[in-house]
Amino acid sequence: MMCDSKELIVGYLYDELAIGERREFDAHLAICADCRLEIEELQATRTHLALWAPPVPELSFRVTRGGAPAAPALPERSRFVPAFAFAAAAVIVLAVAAAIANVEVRYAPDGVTVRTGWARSGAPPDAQVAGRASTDAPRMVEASRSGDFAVLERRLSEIEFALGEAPPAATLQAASTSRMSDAEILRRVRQIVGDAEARQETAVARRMLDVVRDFERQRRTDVALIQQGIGQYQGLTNTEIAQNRDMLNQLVRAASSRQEK
Amino acid sequence: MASSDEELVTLSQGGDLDSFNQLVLRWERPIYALAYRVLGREEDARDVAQEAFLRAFRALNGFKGQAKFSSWLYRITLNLCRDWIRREKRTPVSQAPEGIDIIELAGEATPSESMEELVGRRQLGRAVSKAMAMLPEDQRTAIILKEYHGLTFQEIAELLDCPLSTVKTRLYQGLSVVRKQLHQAGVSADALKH
Repeated sequence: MMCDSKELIVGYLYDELAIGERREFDAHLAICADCRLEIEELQATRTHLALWAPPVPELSFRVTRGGAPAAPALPERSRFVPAFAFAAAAVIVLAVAAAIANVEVRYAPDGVTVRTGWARSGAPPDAQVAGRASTDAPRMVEASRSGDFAVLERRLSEIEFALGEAPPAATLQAASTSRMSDAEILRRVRQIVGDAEARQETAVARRMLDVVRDFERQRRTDVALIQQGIGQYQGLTNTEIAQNRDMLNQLVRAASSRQEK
Repeated sequence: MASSDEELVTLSQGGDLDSFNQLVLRWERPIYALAYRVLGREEDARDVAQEAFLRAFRALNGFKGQAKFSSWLYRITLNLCRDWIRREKRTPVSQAPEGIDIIELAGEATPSESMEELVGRRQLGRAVSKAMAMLPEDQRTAIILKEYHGLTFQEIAELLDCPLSTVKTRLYQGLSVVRKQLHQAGVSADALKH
C-alpha cells in the first residue's frame, strides 16, 4: 500500500525515486488526497528548514608546520596579546638592563655622559661632573700600584656606604693602616666586591618584584576603569538603539496603515 | 582553473601544505555549518571544525580515496560532534539572540521584501532551529546532511553506517516531528506565501 510507505514518500520528496517508481507514485497522488496533503506539508516543512542559517563567523583555519604534527593556527581571540602586556615586558626589560648595567646618565655643560658598571663609583666626583668619563678608565690603569689600592679602598667604602651597611672592622683597618700585604688587601677587596654584587642582585630582584607588583596593581585599576567606561557606554548605546528601534517600528506601522488605507 | 579535491589531496599527501590549506579554505564553512547545526553552539562548532581539519591532516596518509574527501571530512566532524555530545552530556541547543533588531534586519532585506516579511522570515528561522533541537540526534543528523549538504540517501547511509531504509525512515520521522513542532509554534504551511 503506497500510503503506508514512508520510503516512497521520502524518495518522492527528495526526488530520489527510480523513474518507474516516480510514475507510479504520481499516479497514486492523483487519486489519494491524504498522500497529496502529506507531500504538500512535508514540502512546506522543507521550505521552512531552508530558513535556518548558521551565523557567518570569521573563519581562517590554517594548518602550519611545527615541531609537533602540524597544528592549525589558533583563532584570532587566542592569539590576542593585550598592549599592556607588551608595555609590562618593556618596563621589566628596561629595569633589569638598567639595574644590571648600573646605568648613570648625567647632563653636563659639555655634553651628556652615560656611564655603566662599577667604574663610576671609583671616579672622583669632580671628574664625573666635569664630563671626562671617557678618560677616567685609562687614567686609572695608568695610576701607580699604591694609587690603585687607594682607589679600590675608596670604592669599597662608597659601596658599603651606598648599601647602607657599616663596613667590616677588618676593612677599616686595612684602609687606615698599610700593614696588610697587597695580596691580602686584594683578596679582601674581591670578597667584599663579591658580597656587594650579591646584595646588589638581591636588591635588583626586589626592585623588579616591586615594579611588577606596581604594574599589576595599575593594570587592575585601569581594567576596572575601562570596564566601567564600557558599561556606561553600552548603557547609553542600548538606550539609543531602543529609542531608534521604537521610532522605526512606529514608522513601519504608520507606513503599513497608510498602505492598507 | 581550480584543482579538484582529489588532486589537492594527492598533493597534500606528498607534503604540500598549501594544497591542504586550499582544502581547508574550500571546506571550512560547510564543516563549520555542519557542526553548528548538530551542536547548536557557535564556539563549540568552531572548535569542532578546527579539530576536524587537524585530525584530517594527521590521518591524511591513511585516506585512500575510497570515499569522497568531503564525505571523509563529514565523517570526522560527525564523530567529533558525537563525542562532544556524549562528553558534555548535553542536547543541542537553539541559540538565538533575544529580541529582533530591526536595524540589523534592514541590511538583510531584499529590494522586494517588506520589513514585516523580513521579521517573519527571521522568526521562522528561529522556530525551525528550536524544532530541530527537539529531534533525536540520528534524525537531526540525517536531515542536516540531506537538507543542508545535499547528500544522497546512499551517501548518508555510508556516512552513518546504517541501511538505506533506516536513513529514509529517520528523514521521514524527523520531518514529521519538525512539521508538528512548527505547527504547534503557530507556523502554518503557507507562512512564506504571504
